[in-house]
Amino acid sequence: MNPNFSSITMRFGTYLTGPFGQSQQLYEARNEEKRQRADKKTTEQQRQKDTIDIITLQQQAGLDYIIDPGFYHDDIFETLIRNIPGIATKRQENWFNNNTFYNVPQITAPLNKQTEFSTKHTHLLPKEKTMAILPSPYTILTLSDVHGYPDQLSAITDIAQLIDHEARTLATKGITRIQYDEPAFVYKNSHSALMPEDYKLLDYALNLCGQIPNATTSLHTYFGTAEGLMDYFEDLYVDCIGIDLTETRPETLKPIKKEITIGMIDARTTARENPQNLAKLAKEIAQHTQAETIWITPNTGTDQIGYTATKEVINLLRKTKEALT
Amino acid sequence: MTLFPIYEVGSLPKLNARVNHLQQKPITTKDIQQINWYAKKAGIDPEPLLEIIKQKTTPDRKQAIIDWNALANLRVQENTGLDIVYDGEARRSEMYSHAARNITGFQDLPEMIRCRGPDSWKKNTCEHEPHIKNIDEVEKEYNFVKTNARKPAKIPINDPYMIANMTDNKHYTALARANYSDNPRQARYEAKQQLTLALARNVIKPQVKALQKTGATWIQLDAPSATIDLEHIPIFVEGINEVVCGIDDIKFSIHLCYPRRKTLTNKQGYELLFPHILNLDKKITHLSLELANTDNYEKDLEPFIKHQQERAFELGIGILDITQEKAGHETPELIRQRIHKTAKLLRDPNLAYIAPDCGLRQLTLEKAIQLYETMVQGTELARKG
Repeated sequence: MNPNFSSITMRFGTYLTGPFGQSQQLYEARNEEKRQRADKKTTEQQRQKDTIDIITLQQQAGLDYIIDPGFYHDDIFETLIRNIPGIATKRQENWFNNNTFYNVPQITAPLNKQTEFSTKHTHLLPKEKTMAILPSPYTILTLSDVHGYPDQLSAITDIAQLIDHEARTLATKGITRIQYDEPAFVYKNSHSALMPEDYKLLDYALNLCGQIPNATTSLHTYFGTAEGLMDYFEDLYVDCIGIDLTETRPETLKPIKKEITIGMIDARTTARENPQNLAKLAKEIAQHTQAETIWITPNTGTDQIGYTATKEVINLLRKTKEALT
Repeated sequence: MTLFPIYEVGSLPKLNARVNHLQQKPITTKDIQQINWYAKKAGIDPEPLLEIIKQKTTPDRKQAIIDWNALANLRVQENTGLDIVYDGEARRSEMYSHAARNITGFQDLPEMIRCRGPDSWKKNTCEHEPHIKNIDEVEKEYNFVKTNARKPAKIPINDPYMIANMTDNKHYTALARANYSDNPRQARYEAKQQLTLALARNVIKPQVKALQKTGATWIQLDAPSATIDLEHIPIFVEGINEVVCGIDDIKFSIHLCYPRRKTLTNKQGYELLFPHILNLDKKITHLSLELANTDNYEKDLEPFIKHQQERAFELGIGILDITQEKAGHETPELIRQRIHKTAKLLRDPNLAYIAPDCGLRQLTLEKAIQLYETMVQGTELARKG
């Protein structure tokens, strides 16, 4: 870090960035339903109860954006596969380096780009300061099996238009922030596998869906390092860039004329960070990057550590924000 | 040993009577019919078990059911024509939880963790340095097999890296963060490495030593998550080497399955393991591979053949797809073709052993036994030419 940056007016905020760990009661309800020993209604009641509880917890902790905890789907692509004509699935793959899996979307041209796929559960969210999470077009493209398009550019055009339509619909329903989940791009960066074509595809897709009326947008990267990408990120057509600090060395961040989200809390372990240390590092990053707003978050969803541990993460966000103010 | 020896990778589905008993549910007429059917396949008497089931208050009921299940699994494998056998992991609940509950320093997370669609799993947190709790368990399990098996046995146990991958590594993460506060990726590597090596030294190796004393001659280390993290594959190799170093006169194999195929890099599948697995201790002479699921034997075997000059492993060739959607679609003729294709690719038929892609516990018992029969019929065809 360069200590010579002059002091700037810093704005800090906090929010969650992905699906919440399930409660034991919800697990039991789902398991009973899976084994046909209970009906869907019991599971639905538990889902709704847990969703409302987690929304309330986020509000009580003073988080700046409130998200749906994601109990209605098991992976990032599930709502797409369930609802969009032209997207199906046949097989599962490891979700990056986690002991969890995702259904690989089988995308066949042409997509029906006017179908809503994620809006069903937004009615439980409060009326303001809400964030919806959608998969980024580039991650959809690279993690899917794609058929019927002449090239990747044609495919990502369709996908980005689909996502743009969804984001705009969400904004009309009162969502004020859209997070595009983008693990694939930085994962490739970590493995020195990014090609010039990849940069073009992500850039092109965000030109189609990166600005949404009445909502801010964030490209949230995780499971890979942002090292060497800051200049590229600055030019992308989104309001905020999310960086996984459990993968990226803080000193490699560079000044950026955008908001940045720093995933400082490792959501894949219960080894909890110290709020004073997080606050100190956040201040250093703010000084160093001169970003207009710094959002402090977990690097990803907390579904791998369960319900109790996720509540501790929310508490840590609250304490970190207190330490900053 | 005969040409193309056949073995089971590990687990078989449990008897329904056993599952219902553990869940404190009534044992049904259908469960009794299954016992009779399985007894006939195994060539053993169902009456002692049926008697115990009738006496609902017998305290030894659970153990008797499990012992009968283990013996029946052995006999069915022998009678069907498998050449190397085990008890179908009849005494184990599930791969990870069976291991985790026998480790000090591990603690259950309060909730089940979402894993695959509607499935969840019981994850543990590593709170301090792990050690094995009860070494007798594996000794008793193997002794039962040794006493009862009429064919050579191969015991499957977990490799340390798999347990490390599936565990919330709280203890070593906290330590590594202190050492590498400015380099989070290095901290993660260090934490995973330390947990893997501790599990190898304190949990898996003591079991291997106990098995050696008990008379085990072939130990299979199960490594389903070897390719889950492309950066950490060297840790998988280190863990295995730590387990086997200093242990002689035992045949060691590794079961590998479902390697990552969509990696976003220029390597996929078993290719990801190279060159790292060339550094495995020379005592590892055999690798068991899942191959039928993708049915692309040439591509999947290519890296092993490419490196055969440096390291020629015996290979357990997965010739049965065991996924619920596709299990049972193979015919004996298809299996014959797969075996011949593989033997030709390996250029030495003596390197090829025959096996299902993985353990069969996700299937019904009836389907699993049908797969055994098809596997044996196909292998017999292959042996004839």
